[in-house]
Amino acid sequence: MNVIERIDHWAAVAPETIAHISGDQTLTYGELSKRSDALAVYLTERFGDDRSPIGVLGHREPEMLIAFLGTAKSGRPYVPIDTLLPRPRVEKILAISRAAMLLSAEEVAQLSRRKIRGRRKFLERNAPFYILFTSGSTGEPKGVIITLACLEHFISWMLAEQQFAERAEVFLNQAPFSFDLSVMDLYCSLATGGTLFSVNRDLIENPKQLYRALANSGVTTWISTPSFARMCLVEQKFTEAMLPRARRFLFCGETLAPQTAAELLGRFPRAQVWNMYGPTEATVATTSIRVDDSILQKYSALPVGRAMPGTQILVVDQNCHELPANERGGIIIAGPNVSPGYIGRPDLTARAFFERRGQRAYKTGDLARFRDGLLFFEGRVDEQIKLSGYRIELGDVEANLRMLPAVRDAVVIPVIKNDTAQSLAACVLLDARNETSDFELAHSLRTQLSDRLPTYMLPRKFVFLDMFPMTANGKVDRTALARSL
Amino acid sequence: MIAADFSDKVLQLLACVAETDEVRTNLDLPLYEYQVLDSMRTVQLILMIEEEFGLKISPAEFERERWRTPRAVIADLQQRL
Repeated sequence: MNVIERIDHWAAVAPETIAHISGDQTLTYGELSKRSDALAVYLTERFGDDRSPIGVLGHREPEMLIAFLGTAKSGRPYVPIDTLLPRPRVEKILAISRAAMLLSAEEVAQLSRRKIRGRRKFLERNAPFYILFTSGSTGEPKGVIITLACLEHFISWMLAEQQFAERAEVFLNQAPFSFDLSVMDLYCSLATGGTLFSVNRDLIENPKQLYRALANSGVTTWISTPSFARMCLVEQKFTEAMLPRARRFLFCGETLAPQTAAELLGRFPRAQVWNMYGPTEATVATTSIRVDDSILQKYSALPVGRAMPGTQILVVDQNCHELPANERGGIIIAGPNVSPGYIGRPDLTARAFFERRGQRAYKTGDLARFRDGLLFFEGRVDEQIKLSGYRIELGDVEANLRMLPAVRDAVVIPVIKNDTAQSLAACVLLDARNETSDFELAHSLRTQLSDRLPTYMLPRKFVFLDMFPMTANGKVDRTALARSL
Repeated sequence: MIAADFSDKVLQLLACVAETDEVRTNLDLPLYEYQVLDSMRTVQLILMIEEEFGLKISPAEFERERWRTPRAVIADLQQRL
């Protein structure tokens, strides 16, 4: 059974089981299956043989799940877009992906209630299943194509490794659907007849309600960024007493600190903690390891583990030659979970993807080394950073800053504390300086930039300079700028 | 009357979390409206306050309204102490 067939199977045998909870909205497997079928029929009637992607705009509404599955069942890839994204960025994404339409949650609610007769499924293993947009270094987002085959490879591995109980799990959904960590909770949950419990924006902004919701959630499998778990751990009551059914904490998307893992194991003695690693281009996660006391005792920086079966991880030098253990190099991932490439960008695709011994391979730009047969992540070769799990190209923020009327030039630097990027600082050269204070000016630039970029990409700190320090070979001296912050 | 050094210390912690000195000069700055504070930073500040003053604040019982401005943060902490 493929993932869609599995979901429809749960709809057949347990139609009343809750598939999704978001705020006070719930969706059963029966509704999910029936309504996604209706949406698929609508899309097929409207677009016929045109298999262009469909943009889906929303936050955590149950309609998002209906839209994803309905689009997939009609043989089209979906492009999840969070309502947090400013409109110009949404327009860019739709243009780059050549989307046939943008469906809002409200439209999905209406279109999926139509009565239909008969249905056909158009799923092909090697056709695009979803397209996720991430930050691109030139200021244009880039869309990673993931096929049904990629997704199947990832899900089969997760189900085999984690042995989720069928129709018994509640998965925490913290990541927005536009961020591929959510693919882990969404499809592991749906494939096993579980319940997906979304924490929406209102809850994250209101800790009091967040903890109340968590206490009532019955979460068994926690999937989040380490940042989110760290935030939750500040509350002393965040223990087994609050989440008595929690058995697993799965982390991906940024470095997991050993302190976070140790604290979780202390507060949730019956739960396992897993660290995972992988870029969006290789379908959510490629490596994993269970972090227990022996791992914590042995390593001061946690390993990200071993590759999934059927996929290889190579650590290579600049000439793409494999390096021996203990030597640091770039990570290459080769296997069936690797994406065909970036939509509409054969140039970027050719630069990062290639074929290796009959398998699709991807140059991640991540640095790592193998030690004791385990992979240790050690940063990036370029200007890409992770901020609270969000992947950001500094060049993307810089390019968008330079497009603002008053800005002549801009360099964006991550502010690092305890080896982790905490926020972004923008060093800006202005065309002309008026009388307003630095704070007012920064606020104004930030507001203007928020029309172009999502909130998580906005610099917190703005420094106004007359000129940038230069290196001996005439490049902006980022190290000197970072020191001066 | 609360000692000025207490207020100074609070503002220093706030400035560190917020990454701007504006909070020290403009005591009526709407912290959440201007996105000087958000959920993550609120929690960071809670941790720093615990370290500095030994004052435990439960995020599960916290309401943003109490820390609307730098002045409100100082007043709230004075009351808690």
